[in-house]
Amino acid sequence: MHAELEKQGPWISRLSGTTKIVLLLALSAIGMVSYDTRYLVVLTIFALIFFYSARLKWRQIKALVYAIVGFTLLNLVLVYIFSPQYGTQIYGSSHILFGSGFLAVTAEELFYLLNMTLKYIFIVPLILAFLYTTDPSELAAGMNKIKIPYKVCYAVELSLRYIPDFLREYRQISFAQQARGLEISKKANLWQRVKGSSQILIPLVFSSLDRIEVTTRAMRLRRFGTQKKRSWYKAHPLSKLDWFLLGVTALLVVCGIWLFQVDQGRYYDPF
Amino acid sequence: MAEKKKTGGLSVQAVVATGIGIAIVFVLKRFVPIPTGVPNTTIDLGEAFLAFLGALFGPAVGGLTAFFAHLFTDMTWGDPWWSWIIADALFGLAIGYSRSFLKIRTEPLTTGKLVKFNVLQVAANIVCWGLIAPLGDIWIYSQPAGKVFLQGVTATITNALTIGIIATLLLIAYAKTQDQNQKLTKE
Repeated sequence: MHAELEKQGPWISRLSGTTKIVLLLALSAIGMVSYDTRYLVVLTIFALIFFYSARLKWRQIKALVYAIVGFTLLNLVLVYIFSPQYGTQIYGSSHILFGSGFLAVTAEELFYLLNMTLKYIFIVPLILAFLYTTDPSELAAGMNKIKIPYKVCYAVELSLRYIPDFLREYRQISFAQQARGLEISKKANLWQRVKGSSQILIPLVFSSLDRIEVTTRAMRLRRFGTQKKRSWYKAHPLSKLDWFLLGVTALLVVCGIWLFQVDQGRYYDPF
Repeated sequence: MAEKKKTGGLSVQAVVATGIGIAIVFVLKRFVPIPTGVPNTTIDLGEAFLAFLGALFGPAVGGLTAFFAHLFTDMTWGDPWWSWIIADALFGLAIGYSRSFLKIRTEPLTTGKLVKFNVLQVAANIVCWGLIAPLGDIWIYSQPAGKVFLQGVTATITNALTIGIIATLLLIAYAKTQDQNQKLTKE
């Protein structure tokens, strides 16, 4: 039965949760530190392979992509306005393209902004792909495999189980309050929105406290947490593909660290 | 209670509180943010609930909830921003220490305790959002100082105010339900 299920779907949905977590952590850690443009481009391409295999529909991710583009642009503008000469500071040279004075656009600043954009977006395709192809239970099993205490893993699994519930509950309370004349849409001013949202918060909080009590009792009755270890229904050994991808990731991380040596620091300086 | 000590780690209630806490903070952070006008900083009711949860269940629950809720929120935006995730986790940890003096389940809530809670939360906000998060952005991500401190200071102020008002109200509302229970047991 299990083997049959495994054969279905694109290869990305057959990856073990462990592989996905390790991949994500390793790549986001190394991509966070590195400012080498070539390396970040390689990481982006690697991430795009996963994205491609997840076969996501444009309408699934449309809103998210727009939001990310918006955020990134806003951040770029802000960084530029606050320190238009930051690139010059980092690369130690200044090639003015146009403009003059404090706001002069230098090639270094543009290059720095390009690197920053790459850092913002390189992992987005990977995360989108994983978001839509990962089973929550598999995630918990995967976390436990990399030695995170099982109680923490179970808490995370529990949270993924409850997110849709609370979302529905939040919306129900919100509609009920709005029907009674509470304005929390964009039309209301900031203070009204804060006040309105907190009026939704109180019923939500108290129902969640009740749920903590009930669930705790249920889990105690089932003797949760009495053993040192726990097995997972969704846990399964790593396949060849898993090991291959883990190998590639390790190679990429080593490459990234090696590049710090080559570049003598985190920045790749073409100037 | 005895069985809890045998395996160590979190109690069953802490596990459940963390799980449900992550879910609620995530929903509040992801679907109810109110923009402040400064990029990537919002008035965040999730932080208010987090402070309340920490005050009830302690540092471990606070820290874990903050870490995973922030991580999941960032992931659904496509990009985990580690310096802020770590700052948030430390904030949850710090605010959890208010449990030891609030003792909200066993003792009545006084004005003095609420003042103490708010002093702690403001201090934790300043350290986490005003210092750790921006410094992390500078060291880890090499972002210019001016921009990250603007974001950090905005986050400090909005979080301190949100928690100061909403978490305090939640604590008062919760204390009322607890007091009634005590009166019942005394008789």
